[in-house]
Amino acid sequence: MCENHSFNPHNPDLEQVRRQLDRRTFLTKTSLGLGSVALGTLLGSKLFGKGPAATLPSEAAETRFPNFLPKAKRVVYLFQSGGPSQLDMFDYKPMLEKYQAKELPQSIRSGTRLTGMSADQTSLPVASSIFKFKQYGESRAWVSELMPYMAEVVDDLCFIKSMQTDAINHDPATTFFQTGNQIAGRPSIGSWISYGLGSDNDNLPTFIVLVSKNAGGQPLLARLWGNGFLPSVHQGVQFRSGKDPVLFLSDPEGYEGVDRREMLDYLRKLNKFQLDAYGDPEINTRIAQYEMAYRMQTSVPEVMDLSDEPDHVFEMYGKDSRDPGTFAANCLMARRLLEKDVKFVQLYHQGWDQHSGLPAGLKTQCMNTDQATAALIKDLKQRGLLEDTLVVWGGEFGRTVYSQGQLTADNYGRDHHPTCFTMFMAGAGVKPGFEYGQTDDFGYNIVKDPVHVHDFHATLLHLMGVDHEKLTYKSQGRRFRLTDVSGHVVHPILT
Amino acid sequence: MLLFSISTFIGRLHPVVVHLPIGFLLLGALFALASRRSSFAALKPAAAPAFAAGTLAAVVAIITGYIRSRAGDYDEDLLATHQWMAYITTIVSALAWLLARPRQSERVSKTRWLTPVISLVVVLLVSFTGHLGGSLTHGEDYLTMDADPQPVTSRTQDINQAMVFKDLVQPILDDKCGTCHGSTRKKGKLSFANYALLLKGGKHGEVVKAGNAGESELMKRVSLPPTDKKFMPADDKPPLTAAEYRILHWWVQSAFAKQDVKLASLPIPDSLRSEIAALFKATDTTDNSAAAEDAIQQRFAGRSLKTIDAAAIASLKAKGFAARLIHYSPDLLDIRLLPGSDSVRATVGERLSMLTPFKDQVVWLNADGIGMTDTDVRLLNMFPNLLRLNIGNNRITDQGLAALQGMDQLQSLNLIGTMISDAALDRLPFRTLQSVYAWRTSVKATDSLARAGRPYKVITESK
Repeated sequence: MCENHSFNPHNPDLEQVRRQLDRRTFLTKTSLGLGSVALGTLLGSKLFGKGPAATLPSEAAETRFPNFLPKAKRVVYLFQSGGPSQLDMFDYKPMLEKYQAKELPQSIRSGTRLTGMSADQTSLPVASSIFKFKQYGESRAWVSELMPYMAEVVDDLCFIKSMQTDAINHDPATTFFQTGNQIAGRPSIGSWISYGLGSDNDNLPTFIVLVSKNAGGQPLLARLWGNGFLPSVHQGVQFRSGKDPVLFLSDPEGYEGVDRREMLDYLRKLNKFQLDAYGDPEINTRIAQYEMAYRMQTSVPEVMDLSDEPDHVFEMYGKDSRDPGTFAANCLMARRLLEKDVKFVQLYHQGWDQHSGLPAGLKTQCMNTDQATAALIKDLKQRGLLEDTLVVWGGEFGRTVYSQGQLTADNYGRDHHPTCFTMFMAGAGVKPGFEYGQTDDFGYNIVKDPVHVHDFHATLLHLMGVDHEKLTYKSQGRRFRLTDVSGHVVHPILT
Repeated sequence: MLLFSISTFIGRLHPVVVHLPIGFLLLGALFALASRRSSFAALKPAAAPAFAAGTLAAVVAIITGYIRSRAGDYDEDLLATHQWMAYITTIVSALAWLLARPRQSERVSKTRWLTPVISLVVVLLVSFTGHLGGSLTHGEDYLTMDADPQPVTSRTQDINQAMVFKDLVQPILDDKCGTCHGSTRKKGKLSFANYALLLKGGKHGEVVKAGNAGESELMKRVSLPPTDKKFMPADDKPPLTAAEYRILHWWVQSAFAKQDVKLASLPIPDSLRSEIAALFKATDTTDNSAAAEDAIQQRFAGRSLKTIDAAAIASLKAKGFAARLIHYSPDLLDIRLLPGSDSVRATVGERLSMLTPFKDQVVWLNADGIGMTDTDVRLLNMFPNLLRLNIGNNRITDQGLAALQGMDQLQSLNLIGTMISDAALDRLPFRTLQSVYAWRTSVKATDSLARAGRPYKVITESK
């Protein structure tokens, strides 16, 4: 098809580009100009000469991934932004009733730092949870009355009650969880996985992000699913929360798209020319994104079309699931994306930051997420997807046992607590109906088996078949990895 | 209610009140005996009042003791003995009082020996009765307990030789329940001292119903909220750990509360395996991936397998497969036949045969919804090394499924939305199979492990 038009390199516009390159650039930036041409030839053959940019090779092409047979083929990470209160949801501390309203003992606090908000308080009164806890399932896991649907699936969950992080405020803490570093600039988990393992479905992005529209709170920034210093083709693609998750997928009116493929082929050739001249890897990303967009024209409407979902599925996820963009709808969408073998699906739900008015606020949060989270796990399980999908649930830190602000009989708030909190995982390679780690009777310190954010990252990568110490990328003179310079795989929770 | 609680309170005063007769009677005996020496003759008149006070106090103690015995759960025999000894002690102490009273001179010389003898008898009776009372409260071995510490049970350390009740369940019961439901104290007439007594039950009937943990009182009590009055273990004693609970639950429910069976011969669910193993040795923190890798290397050792390069992957993609290498040396593949791929107009058989060059190296195969029929199923037998196979949403019946064989390390089989029935699942010849997915089929069975010939989980609709 393209051959009929015989791509003519002597086109005057292209000549002009070349002349520009040759004359102006050469004259004004001699060394750089020569250098970049040289770089183009050097790199061109080694890195970029392998055909369409569908698979961008890694810098360390000699290390092949996965390093060993994986357990998980895909990951869905339900990120609860704001810091859900573990003491009111999963970490049952019956002794707190005896200490209600008493001052948190100094021996327990032992000098751990407080936020700027708590530091101004004259007292730190212990607030026992106002919610009732019961044990469920064969695993006898404790779940509070706020999460009746999660209580039904506890036998599939692997709780980690001893998570710990270093950051005490939202942005550094969320950035830490997503990128392995409190300061922004590094690639997110999904980007690392895309970089190391590639995609299982060329028609959809490898890393897709869905943010709930029915929640607000601490801000979320696109860099949380960004590619950092990795080639930008590995960035997370956020689908919009609403009726049209990806804009402008359909052809504009009056255009039937017959020659789009031809147009894209020509566009690729033009871009390749730039690439050969400049060697800029971003051009490769651009080429890849055009190609991906083309494929998404068919694949996205197909995955977004819920008309093939039976009513009982919507009922399982809750009535919100019919409202696109809500957490429940996003969970349903996540399942559909996972069915299509999207490797890393991440959901963000904000609003867990109950500094005050916790009883009412937390109730709303749980009501909006409980049923859908449980439904996602059940749905994956019955379809046989749970055994090779890793489900992760958690926030960026936990909440304090002492009340922030006024503690009354029926109202209290909790401040940020990085020292210990609860997350859970389910699915591929983790022990179902299991609890790992333990906090003290105040839920303030960890007494057994701490799991740091780096350890969580190491374990996640391990389940995907990646040795976290081997997946590296050299940037600004040194090799980086998701787990930075630490992290141990938590073997006791693995099957 | 108020009356009830007042009497309970009075009953609970017995351990307090009982010290009065002990004190008075021993003192009375001391006065009576010591006053035989002339230097202590002045004590003689004090003996009678002491015995009198002791007798009165003993009566009060008997009343409180009686009330207490109605409420508490004490060993019947021991309690009866203690009560009768108390009555005898009181009668004898009354006698001692009568004898110790100052009397006219004629009787004094003849029966002078009686008072000291009766005093000694009182001392002995008080001591013995008191000891019985102590045994009721603290257990019969209380005095000698620490002198000769018994091993918890002579439990075998070898998981392969372990008997399910003696070595797994009984140690848990002894540890968490033995203080109140053991050989000495049998609260609620319930004892876990041995298997027969456990099954016999207590005051309110049986506590273990084999095969039905939900109806077993034992399991019900330990799973109540800890703040509930009926929660067991009572009196703030340490509760069962999650692992201990699960083990007991499994033993009652799935192992039918059997006794003389080896643990190793029973089907143990995966979720319990590590916990049971942990009771027999230290916590398992080993890295299983090394062992898994060894298994792969062993399995594929000596076979001349292809190295699968990027070109091979690309050609598979062009033919309508999603293909990825998930292991290197040996190169192992994860293959998915993309449903409804427009670029591929081949039949299912033709598509599968395109994978022939890699047949030994495919470990994960997903053929969901590609229009497979019964005749195509036998073509899958060319993949002997499959770990996971998904043939859901295809028109496959029991007959077709029966043709599937030869995959001796198959772990997971996805049959959702096919036309199979329970009968087919009983005949699956895969010994390593762990999970079968049968949602949207006519399969009725669920997760139960107790079915013979079906050691894998069958997962249907999630409730």
